[in-house]
Amino acid sequence: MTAIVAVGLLVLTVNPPRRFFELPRRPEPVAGGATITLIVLVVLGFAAEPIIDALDISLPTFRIAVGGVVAVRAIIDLFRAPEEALDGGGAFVPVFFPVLFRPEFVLAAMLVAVDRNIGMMALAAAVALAPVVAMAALSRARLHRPLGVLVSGGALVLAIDQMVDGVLAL
Amino acid sequence: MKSLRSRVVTGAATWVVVLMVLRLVVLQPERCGPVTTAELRTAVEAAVDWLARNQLPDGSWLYRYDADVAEDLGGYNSSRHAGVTFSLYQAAAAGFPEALPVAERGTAWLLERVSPTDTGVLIDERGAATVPLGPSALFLAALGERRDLLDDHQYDETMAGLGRFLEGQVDATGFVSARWDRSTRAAVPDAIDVFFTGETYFSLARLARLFPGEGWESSTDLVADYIINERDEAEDIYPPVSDHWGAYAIAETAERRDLTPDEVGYAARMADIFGPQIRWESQRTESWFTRFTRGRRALPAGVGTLGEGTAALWRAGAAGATLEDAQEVIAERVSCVGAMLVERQVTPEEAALLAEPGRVEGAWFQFGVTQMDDQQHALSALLGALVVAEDAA
Repeated sequence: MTAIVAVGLLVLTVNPPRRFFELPRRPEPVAGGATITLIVLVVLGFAAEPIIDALDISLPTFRIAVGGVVAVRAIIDLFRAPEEALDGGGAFVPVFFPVLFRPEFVLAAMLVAVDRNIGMMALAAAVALAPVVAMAALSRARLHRPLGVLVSGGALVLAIDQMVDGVLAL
Repeated sequence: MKSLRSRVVTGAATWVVVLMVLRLVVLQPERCGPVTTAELRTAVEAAVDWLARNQLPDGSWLYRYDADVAEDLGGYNSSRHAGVTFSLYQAAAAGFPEALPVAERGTAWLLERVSPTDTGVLIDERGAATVPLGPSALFLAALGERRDLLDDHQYDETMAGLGRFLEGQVDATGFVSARWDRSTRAAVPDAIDVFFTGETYFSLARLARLFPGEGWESSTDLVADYIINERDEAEDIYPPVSDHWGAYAIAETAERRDLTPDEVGYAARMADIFGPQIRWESQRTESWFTRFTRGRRALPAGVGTLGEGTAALWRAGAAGATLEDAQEVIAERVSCVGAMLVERQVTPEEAALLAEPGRVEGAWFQFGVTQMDDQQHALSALLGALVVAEDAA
């Protein structure tokens, strides 16, 4: 996995334009939730390899699984409208969970950590979460919906790429 | 609109469902050991013992046996005979001297069947209108193993004769005819066999290494070029052949000279064919659930060929071939096959429960049946895993 694919995978998996609809339009809790997410991802990144070993799974098989999860989520997102943001809540709920700490993003981040390294994973995750925080400052969403669909399409392509890579890998 | 609480519950449920489905369907454990060198050695000894016990006085072996009804199912195949002989020489070379006399009796059986052609010699299958190429190719490989082991040159002329016969089966494009016609005394046009081409490549590559400067290189390279660049399309093969003999040829060539980019690419292609099959096979158990989700366990011979092919690629890497820094992963896959074979081999305790323990102990079965090539390929794969394990140690 190249650095571009690693960053692309996490950015497309987070899908910032789509998250915009689900998060409060207040930058502070979103920034807080994104920070918590990043910290948890780094911890899970360190644990990723021991977890995979403990489960007796090889990296290619894990790659297939991640690709599958990302693909399923991308397909769902292509056809389903985003949920609307709720009033109330803060950085932990709902920003960290359930909006940002989602299976496809966490698994993809763990894949990047194992395939590349923790540093790359942290960088890619930060790049992915930064637009989520930035968009929370916006009051209106003009192009976010079609952009979200476009990003889901991109995520689907990268997911298929990862699955094929996993199937054909040694 | 959903409440915050229901969103949290939905999020948590999504996690549970995703993790459960992944574990049950996609991320099933790959049962790859660990396996020790001692376990591998014990398994090799048991396999060699099976081949010694079940060798008939004329040098042939019990071909096919059903343990459930304690019945010799009969039949025979010269290619498999030559293959078993090859594996036994490999075992002798790897430090199992008890394999040598068994292999020598196998060689004697084959030597009785050496017959002249217009260009060289072949292993004849009496009574058939056309003669398959496989026994000749594998006997040549076996004699090469023997020559390396004993430094005995008494069969050099036989090897050269077999080599000339093989060359006569190769056309100008590198295509290898799988059969020789007794009436025309020539290759049967368009006779295809999925493994004989790789066997020919391996045997010619072996001749090129053992007899440098005697002209075997050009025919080896011709067949190599055909296999690497044309075979799958010309022979309408899809998916590409999981060709362990081709991998042996790559290892043989890597010992002789640097691999060409084409050959390195072919080795990488083979690695990418063996690897997924090994990962998939390692997820199979005898339980109904993995049979349902992963299919039944493969033939022991099939599992063995995966280990043989991967071990050959590892040897190519050890000889200096650059396989895209995959040597460590290749070693893992070889060990994985070794672990599977150790786990699936019939133990003395299991054999004691059956009617004819001597025909069962040390062998590998599928649906209660074993065939001599199950032992052949499993034995060779175990020897490959042993080399890798000893290297790691």
